Amino acid sequence: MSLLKITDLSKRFPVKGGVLKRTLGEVHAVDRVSLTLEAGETLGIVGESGCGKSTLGKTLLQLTEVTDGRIEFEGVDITHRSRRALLPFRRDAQMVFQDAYEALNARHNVARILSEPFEIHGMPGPHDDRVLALLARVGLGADAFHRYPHEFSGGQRQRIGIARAIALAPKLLVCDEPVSALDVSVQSQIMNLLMDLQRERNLGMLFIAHDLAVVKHLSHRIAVMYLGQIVEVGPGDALFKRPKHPYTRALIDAIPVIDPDQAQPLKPLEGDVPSPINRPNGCAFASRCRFATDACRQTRPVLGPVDDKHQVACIRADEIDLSAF
Amino acid sequence: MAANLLDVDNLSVSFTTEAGEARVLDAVSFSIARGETLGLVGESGCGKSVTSLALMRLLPQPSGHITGGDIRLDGDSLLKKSIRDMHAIRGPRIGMIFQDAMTALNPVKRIREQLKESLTLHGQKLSKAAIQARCIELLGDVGIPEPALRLDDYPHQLSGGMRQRVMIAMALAGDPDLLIADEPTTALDVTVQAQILSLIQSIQAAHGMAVIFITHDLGVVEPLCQRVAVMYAGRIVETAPAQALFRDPKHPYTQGLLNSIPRLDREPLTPLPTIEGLVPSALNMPNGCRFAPRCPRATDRCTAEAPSMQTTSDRTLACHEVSL
Repeated sequence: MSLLKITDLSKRFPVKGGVLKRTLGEVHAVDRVSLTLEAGETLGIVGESGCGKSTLGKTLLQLTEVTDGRIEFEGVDITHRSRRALLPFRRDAQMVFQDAYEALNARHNVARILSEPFEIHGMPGPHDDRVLALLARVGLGADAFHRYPHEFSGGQRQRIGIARAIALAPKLLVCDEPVSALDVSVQSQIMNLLMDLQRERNLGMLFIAHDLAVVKHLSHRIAVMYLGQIVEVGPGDALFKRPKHPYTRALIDAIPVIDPDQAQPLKPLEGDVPSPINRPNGCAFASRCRFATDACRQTRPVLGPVDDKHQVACIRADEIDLSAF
Repeated sequence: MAANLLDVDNLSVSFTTEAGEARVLDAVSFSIARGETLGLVGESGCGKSVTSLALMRLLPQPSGHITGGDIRLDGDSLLKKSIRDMHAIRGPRIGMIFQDAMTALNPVKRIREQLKESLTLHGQKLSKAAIQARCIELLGDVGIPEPALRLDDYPHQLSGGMRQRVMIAMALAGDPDLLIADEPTTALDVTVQAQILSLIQSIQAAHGMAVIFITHDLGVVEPLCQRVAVMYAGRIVETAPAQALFRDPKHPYTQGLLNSIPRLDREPLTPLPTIEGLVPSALNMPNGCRFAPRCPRATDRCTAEAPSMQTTSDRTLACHEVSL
């Protein structure tokens, strides 16, 4: 039994316009996404802005209403549960946000911020010892106890955000771009903390980020999203060494290499991501893909196996050679 | 004519704040030859953006002021220029592109008007038809499809990458000798970042202008820059040719920075090397070497005395413990 299993999950937002605010169309933010996550496993989700990776995280935590599909947590269907019935799940599944400054209440001190999870879930106080233990675990001193979020640096604030997320000993942690606002020297500190916590607590972790190198370092498996869909998923090594989807290949090629011995001229992908409102009929990537044929523009590809762990959604995956360019 | 296009000589900048005087730049020196690309690299708060604003004499007033040193363009001191003279330098001599094109562009003016402004502001007298033609040419140069149609768009109608292209077109309008690019790709997705980087590369090759490329991301420096200056807490700690810097970083900070970057060829799920501690506050800088509190090799001398700059023909280094 997987820790988390989602099947054909969709989230659509209505687009309203005109004087009468009629619904003119729908944004397919998350489009029939299926994935599983085991305890102790990190699944990285990469994609460019607007690909739906953040919405996927929010939808599977049911922080926003599910349009279609099914979410199972430890084998139990929790889709469309009432707020009250979701409370045990809320305790088991927590989130770390990109901007810790926005995610923390600026008017509350650290003691109050970190006591709140215990209060919400009805644990008897005082919580001071629990809070101090959390601070120590995330590498902050006891002097942080009475201070306010603005008194900390970005990296320290993210540590507070992580402390809050692990307060209730969750089984699932969704991290949405937790290090992208941080400087490199601090980024590596926070990445180390997340890897340590994951191992020590056997957390199932969904790590959402746009930076492929960061995701590759932290993840056991990686899913690549484009326009609301997963186009390729597999173990990090296989995905980077033998990408099967042209978009995955383009993403890898776009990463600037810092080693002058491995540097290659930039090979930018042309064009922009199509609108998720009028999404193309066939493959969403066809408009930017150098391998696209008429069949690609007509048939919507579904995820199919490359091997037992690696899947790709491309009808030409078997015939095109991505190692050549 | 001076040998270098730009010489920055012991430039110091302070900001007056409620909490006291913040010395944001301390004796920063570097120079750029004609047609050369220099990467100015460092983490947030190291003073790299303040350096670029100081070069343009655009420091926020009245809080920011240049407290020492000199900036010379073709041997001519920019600090002695009047406001009117500076106006003639910004645009035709030094162009600038900013990180966030959405805030740098005027949201209520069409692209046409904004481009026209950068063409006519500096005293060029052009006919209406000539302006139209030049605008279309500029947008075409930066790779915007159907430039004639895009002229009537507002900034919000364009994608982030297209907006950044418009910014670059505006900077190119004056045909500057020096282009300052302040984190031009930081807000963009990787695939769009690659498009913009290769655009800057090709424009530089075509126009032969010098570029100062300011970034926190060492990865984007490598394909673009010939030389790199690494900044830490308001000082330059090391400069070197780009390849030499990446192959053989000398300063402990540069080494730490390069090590802590997650790389594709690193074994996943292993601990990353880190630089422990935090960047010092500009209000309370350490006395000696500013990196000493975080440096694994720091000695008593490092905390007591600021290192002087060692120089060879192509590298500089400010460190007591390492020699060039």
